Amino acid sequence: MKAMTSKTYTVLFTPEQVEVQVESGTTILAAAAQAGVFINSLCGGDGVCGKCRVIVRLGEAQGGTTNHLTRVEIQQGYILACEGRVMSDLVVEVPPESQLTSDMLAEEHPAEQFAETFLMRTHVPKLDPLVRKVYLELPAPTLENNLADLERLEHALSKSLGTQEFQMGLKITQRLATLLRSSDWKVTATAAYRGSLTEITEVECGNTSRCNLGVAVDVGTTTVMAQLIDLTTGGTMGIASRYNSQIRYGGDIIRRIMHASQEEGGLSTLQQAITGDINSLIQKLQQKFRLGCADITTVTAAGNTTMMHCLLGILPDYIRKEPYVGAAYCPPPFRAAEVGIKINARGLVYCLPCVSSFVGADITAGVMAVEMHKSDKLTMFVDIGTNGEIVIGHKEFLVAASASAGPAFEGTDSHDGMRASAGAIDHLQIYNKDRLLSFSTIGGKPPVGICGTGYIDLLAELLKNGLMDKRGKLNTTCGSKRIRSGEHGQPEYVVIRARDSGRGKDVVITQADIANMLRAKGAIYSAGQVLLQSLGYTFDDVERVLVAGGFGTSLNVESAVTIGLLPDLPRQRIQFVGNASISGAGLAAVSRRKYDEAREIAQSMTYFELSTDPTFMGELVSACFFPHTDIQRFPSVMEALADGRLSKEG
Amino acid sequence: MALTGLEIFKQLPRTNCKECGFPTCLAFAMKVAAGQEGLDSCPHMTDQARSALSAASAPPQRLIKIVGSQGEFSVGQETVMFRHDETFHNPTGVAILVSDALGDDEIKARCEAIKGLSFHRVGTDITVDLAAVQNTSGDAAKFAAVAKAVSEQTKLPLVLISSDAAALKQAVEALGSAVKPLLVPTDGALDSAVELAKSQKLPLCVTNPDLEALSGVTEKLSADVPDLVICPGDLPSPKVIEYLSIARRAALKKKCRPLGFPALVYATDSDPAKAAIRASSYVAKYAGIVILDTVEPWAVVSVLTTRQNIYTDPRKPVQVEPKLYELGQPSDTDPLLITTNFSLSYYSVESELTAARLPARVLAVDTEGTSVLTAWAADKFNPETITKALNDSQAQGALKHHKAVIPGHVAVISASLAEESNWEVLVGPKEASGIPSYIKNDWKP
Repeated sequence: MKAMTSKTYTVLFTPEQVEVQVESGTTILAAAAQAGVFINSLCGGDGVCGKCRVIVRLGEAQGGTTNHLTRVEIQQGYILACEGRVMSDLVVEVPPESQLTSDMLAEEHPAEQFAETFLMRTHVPKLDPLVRKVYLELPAPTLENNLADLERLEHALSKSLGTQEFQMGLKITQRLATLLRSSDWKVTATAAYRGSLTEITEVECGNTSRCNLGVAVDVGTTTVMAQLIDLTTGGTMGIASRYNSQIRYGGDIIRRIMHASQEEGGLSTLQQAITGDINSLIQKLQQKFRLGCADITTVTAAGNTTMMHCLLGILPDYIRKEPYVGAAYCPPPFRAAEVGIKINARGLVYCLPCVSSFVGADITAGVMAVEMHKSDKLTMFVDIGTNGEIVIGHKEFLVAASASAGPAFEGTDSHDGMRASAGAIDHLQIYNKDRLLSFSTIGGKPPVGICGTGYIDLLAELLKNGLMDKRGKLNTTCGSKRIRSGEHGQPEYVVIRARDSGRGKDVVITQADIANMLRAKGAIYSAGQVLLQSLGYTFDDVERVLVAGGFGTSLNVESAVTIGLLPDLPRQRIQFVGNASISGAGLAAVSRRKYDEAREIAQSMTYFELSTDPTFMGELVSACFFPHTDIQRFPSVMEALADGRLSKEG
Repeated sequence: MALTGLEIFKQLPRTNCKECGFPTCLAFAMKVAAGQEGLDSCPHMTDQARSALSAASAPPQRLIKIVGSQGEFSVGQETVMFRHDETFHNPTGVAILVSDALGDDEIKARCEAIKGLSFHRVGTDITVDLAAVQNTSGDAAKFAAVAKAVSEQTKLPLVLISSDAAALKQAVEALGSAVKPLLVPTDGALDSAVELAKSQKLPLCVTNPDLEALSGVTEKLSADVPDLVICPGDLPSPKVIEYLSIARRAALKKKCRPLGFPALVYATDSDPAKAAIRASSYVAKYAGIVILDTVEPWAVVSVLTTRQNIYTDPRKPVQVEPKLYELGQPSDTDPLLITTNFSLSYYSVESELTAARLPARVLAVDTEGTSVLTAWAADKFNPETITKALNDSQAQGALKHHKAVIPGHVAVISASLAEESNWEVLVGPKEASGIPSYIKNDWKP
């Protein structure tokens, strides 16, 4: 086949209307990547997840066999983008459920506004950014005052900053003498924090100290979010987010690691993907606020340990192999240009520190942002993502554990799951047995799928209405018209009928989805339980539960308790804090003290390995019940389920 | 009650200096609390903190060591009333009685019989732990000679039983200072035996059927002889179990130090069957050492089996044996399903198949007890390990077809597994719940 001369064909993607030229035999997924069109692919092109469904409107594509498509769908032209090969000029339609809307700006996305408000609500630190611009009017040298130019600059800077030791690159040093004289000794020096050292990264003519910007980045496995900060005021200017383009190489961490280590050039592909995302977000924010790229002097980044490795182009392979050790947890600041991030040529990237291979900088940042490390109150911080991370502690100690919950609440890995983006059902209630169902979607768009908070509500409602039993089995004999036999004869519950959905297909939750989520919530609850137990505490001792994560815009705490994801505590102790990771990254950008605090937190946080704890398995098994095998632990849920006052009539 | 990690942490310097080899002081404290690390590994602990911690972390039941000519036996330091609360730690010692009234040949035969009481069960050797030499001859010199002979021939740690403290002393001298037997003075010999136990630092058994009175004695004695064992003497079985239960509860739940010692009991019925039943019930309810007067293998093995079962750590068995399992007498056309040897993974598959009455073979691949996705992520459930398990299991010999079904969660390895193993690899459902319908609808041999 290879020997045949390959022809080039044009593929047009709709509704984006983007064209690309590819060689015959290229997969549609690869063509889309080349065209910059995002197609949802969880398995990274293995033909396994069935998420990358596209419709061939015109032309010939050679598809593989798959059981992800029905016969009718195949007749309609549906094909899996990862299996379909381009055999002629094509017009390919990417249906809504397969689209990864590449970016959304803050005003359209409440989750981002939430991140911002939370940041503002927490204690605003004293403005002392990692990179400062200082305007200096140096005294001109005389026969008496004959200090050399560099020492003169350093002397003035140290008076203004209070630091003693400086470093400077050769290039700036070379042009310093001319610059100082041509600017009449009135210059702006950029001073970057490097612990006890201060690096003078730039010296500019005149007063440019009013233009100093930073970007805080949350490098999520799924979503990348960037926050533009005015470092002269500490205020947030704007937030933008987009999907992590690494998704096309696999939806979860392990697949990414495998791609990095097993594919040729895999690591640099991943690094370019993520730096590309960050650059496009920065560019978007720059354009919006009409800024030059040289004005951005700082990038602070937080993400899980694997994402931090990928961002820096460090091979993450050893993270997944025993004894699970990463290459660097607390890297020093690096030149942004070296990492591949386009800001000021001498700008720096500050990575927040990780704790262990499975407790990353996102957790350190989150803990710092919510100020757990300063609190007198025993706090449990729960970050719900692909891995559920739990931190327990207060100002005296911090202990963290990671439970592989699976991406169930991120909406991936479920039949009709999706990320918290436009069209995702985020809240839901069932009335009058299941004759009436009310819901809301993100952005008020027609429903195309369900995101994490939507699933939490849905499970709670199914349980309360007797449509699902405590083992998570759908009640097929209750006479509900929404429960039916789906694929492979497995029961499923129809949430939205095709005619009401935004994608012309029923939105369902299957028995397998429920089993997945049961395990995910069981893992998170039992991780907290075992961690507390190992410290000699119980849930009752916990004074605050802070739930972080990007799986929705707000969390119905009652639902989360009803399904046993969160402990049955007085509800005022439980608070949803949204994306705490970016809050922490933002705080670090505007405050050296906060950046140092994050490093101290990472150093002092104790990682607790759950998989070797003998009680974890037992706890996990008993937590795999709605809400729990031991219902006594959920008195309020028990009461509510018993007297049925939660099942609403009418 | 043992100290929690946090309580220990509070006494530590809290500098996270990492010199103990752990990343943080709390990580170290939690290891100490779990009994996996000693306080001494911290180079910066103050003496004050050390003594505070050692006193507070003293176990509610004392650990008693009995040293033989080769090896030693430890008992006590139990922490829970019920095994499922945690685990039982130090298995009950099974001792075989040897009377010093026997002739030399009889003693030799008895020792040989004792050495033969070793059995192999579920991958472990289970054996008797102690020999109990009883002074029935009334002759101190004879007693000492027999004790020495039994020690030399069986190599086991000894329990010395005599109503004559002088006889105990002579036996201890004959055994030499390296051997540390448990002294069991009977019929009023206690007071004079205390001196011996104190000077030789030997464990001592206090016999008294009245717990109230016994605790008075042990409280007074424990300053001089810290290593004590308690014994109800000759009581009917129900009374013995009551005695053992009250003593254990008082020690663990009420922190009653005078009763915080392991207990020695007799199951010396002349009928080996009765003795075995009695001994087994004592093993179940808190005996530290049980003495049998039989060398009948069938009687002893039942006691050892009971003990093995009760002292198995209930927290550990999360693995099943990695091998090929045949469910419901599968034919050569029934499916072969592959999963990991994590018990939850295996039993999820097994229970679905059994409930649906579908005959099949299940290959549990050794993934060190990790689940499908975890094992895959950690590179323990990959084409190489699965191929090796397939070949080792010789599954092919039992099958007409050449197809293996892998869990849907690892569909990604199907192609490389097919290449590596030369089997036709089918991708099954992600959840075990989907297996019955998968087999009914999709399986073709």
